[in-house]
Amino acid sequence: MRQKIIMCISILFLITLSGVAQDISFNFPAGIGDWEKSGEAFEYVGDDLFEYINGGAELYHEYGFETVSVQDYSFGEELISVEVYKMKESAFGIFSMLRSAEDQEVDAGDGATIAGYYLMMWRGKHLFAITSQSGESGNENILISFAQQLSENLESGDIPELVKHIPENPVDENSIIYCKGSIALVNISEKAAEFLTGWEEAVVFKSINAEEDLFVICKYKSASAATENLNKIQPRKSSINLKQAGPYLVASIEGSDIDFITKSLETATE
Amino acid sequence: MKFSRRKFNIGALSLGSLSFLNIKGVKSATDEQYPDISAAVGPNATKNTEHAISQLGGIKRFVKEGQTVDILINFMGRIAAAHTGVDVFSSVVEQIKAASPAKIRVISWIEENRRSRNKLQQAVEKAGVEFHHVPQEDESLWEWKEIPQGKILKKVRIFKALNESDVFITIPKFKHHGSARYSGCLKLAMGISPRADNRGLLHANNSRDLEQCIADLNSAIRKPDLIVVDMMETLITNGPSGPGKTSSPNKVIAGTDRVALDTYCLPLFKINPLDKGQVLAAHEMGCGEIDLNKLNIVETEIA
Repeated sequence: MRQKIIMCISILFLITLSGVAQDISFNFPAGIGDWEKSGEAFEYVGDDLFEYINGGAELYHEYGFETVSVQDYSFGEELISVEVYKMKESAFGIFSMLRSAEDQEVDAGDGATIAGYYLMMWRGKHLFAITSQSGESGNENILISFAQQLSENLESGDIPELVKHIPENPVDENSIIYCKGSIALVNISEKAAEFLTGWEEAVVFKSINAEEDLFVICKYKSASAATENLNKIQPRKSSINLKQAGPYLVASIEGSDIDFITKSLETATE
Repeated sequence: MKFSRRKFNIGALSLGSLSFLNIKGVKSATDEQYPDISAAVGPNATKNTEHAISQLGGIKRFVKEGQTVDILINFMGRIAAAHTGVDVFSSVVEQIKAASPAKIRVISWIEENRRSRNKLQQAVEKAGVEFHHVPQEDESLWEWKEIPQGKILKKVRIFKALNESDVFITIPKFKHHGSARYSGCLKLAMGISPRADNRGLLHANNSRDLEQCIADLNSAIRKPDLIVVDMMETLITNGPSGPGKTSSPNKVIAGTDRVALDTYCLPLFKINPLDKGQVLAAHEMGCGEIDLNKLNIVETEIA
C-alpha cells in the first residue's frame, strides 16, 4: 500500500515536471486552415507586460492593458504569431495608435489594417497583432483568414464617443488616432504634446483640405478646466490655432481653420 | 566604392611611434588618423560591418591579444528589424576573434525564454562565445551606482559584470521606441540596469523624464570602447518590438561616441537632436559630441 502511494506521488510529480501549460485567458484554436499551433501559448498580465516588451509596455498601459496572450502557428517552415491584447475598454484606441494611415483596410473584426507582413485588428476590447515572422509580405490572405476566424466569436465594440464628434468631412478617416495619455500624443506630435496637457482624452486627425496640418480635440474634466489650460497655452502657443468649445479644446498645430470642428462639437454636444 | 568629402587624415600615420601613449579614454596622436564615425552603406550586412570597423583602424585598435571582451546587444523583439542583426553581430564577433582575445562574452539579464524567441540567441550559440546571463534576482551580481550629477536619476543598479572585462563593445539596433521615441546607443545602456529599475526608476515618470534618465544613466556607467550600430533593417513605428513599419537604410555605423552616433542616426526619424531629448541631455552631461560638424565622418558605399 505504501509503495502504491509512493508510486502515485511520483507519477504526479513527474507530470508536474513535464510542464503544465500556463493558463491562457484567450481560447486559441488548434489550427487555422492548414496552419497548426506551434509551441505553447504564453501570457503576460498587468504590470508583467514589461517583461514581454520592456518599455514598450507604457503605451499599452496608457490604453488600459489587461492581458496579452501569444500563440504561434506554423505551416512547414513558416511561422505566424498571434498576439491578443485585452484592454479594459474598447481596443479602438490602441489599434488607432498602432496602425498607419497608409495601411490597407481589410474586412475583419470591428476594424483591421494590413501592412505587408503584419495585420492589426480590433474587436471589442481585444487588439490583435498577427505577424508573419519572416518579416516579409506575401501571406496577406492568410493573415486576413487568421483575423476573421479569431474574431468571429468575440463581442463587437464601439468607438469612443469623442471620436464620433469628429466631423466626417473633410477628415481623413484613416488618420484618426484616439489618445488616452501623453505617451501616445508625444509619439504623434511633440509640439501638440508640449502645449496640450491636462486633458482626459484626445483625438488627433488630419484633414483632406489641410494635409500638412494636424488637428486635435482634447476633452477636459470640465469647461473650467479647459479654460484654465487655454489660458496657460495662449501666451506661448506660437503657430497653434486654438479654440474652446465647452469642456473641449480644439487645435490645429500649424494654424489651419478649425471652425468646422468647433461647430461639429457644438452640434454633437447640444 | 566612393568616399564622401570628409576623408580621414592619413598623414597621421607618421605618428604611429607615439601609440604607446594610447591611454584608455585619452585620444592619442594615432587616433587622429581615424574618422570619428565610419558608416558603410550597402546590401550586405557582413561587408558593411567589416568595412565600418576597418575604417576605424580595425578591431585590433580596440581589442588586444589576451584581453577579455564583453558585448551588449539588443535581444528585444522577434522580428529582425527589432533586434541586433544576426549578420552584424556575427561579423563583429568574427573580427574580435581574429584579435585573439582571452575571452568573449555576451552579457545580458534577459531570461532564456525571452532570448530564444528570435534568431539572435542561436547566433550567439553558433558564434561559440560565452553567454553570461546575469539573473536579476541574484543581488550579489548587481551593485548600486550613485549618480550625483543625475538630474532625475540619482542612483541605479548595474551589473558588476560590466566592469570585469578589458574591452566593452555594444551593438545597438537603431529603431523606434514608443516611450523614448527612439532606441540607439544611449538607450541600450538600459540593458545594463535590471528590469525592476528600468520600470521603477527610469520609466517612472513621463517620456521626457525617461530620456533625461537615459542620459543620467549614461553619464554614470562605463563608456563603450567600440560601438557598432545596426541600421540595416529597422523598425520605424511601434518600437521597441513591433510589429510595425520597417525601413532598410542598409547601414552599419561604427564609432566610440554614443551621442555622436545617435545624432548621426536621428535623421531616420526626422528628430532634431537639439530638441529636448536623450541626445541633447547626454551631450550636456558630457557623454559625447552633438555637433557633427566638429567630427570626421566617413561614409562609404559598399557593393
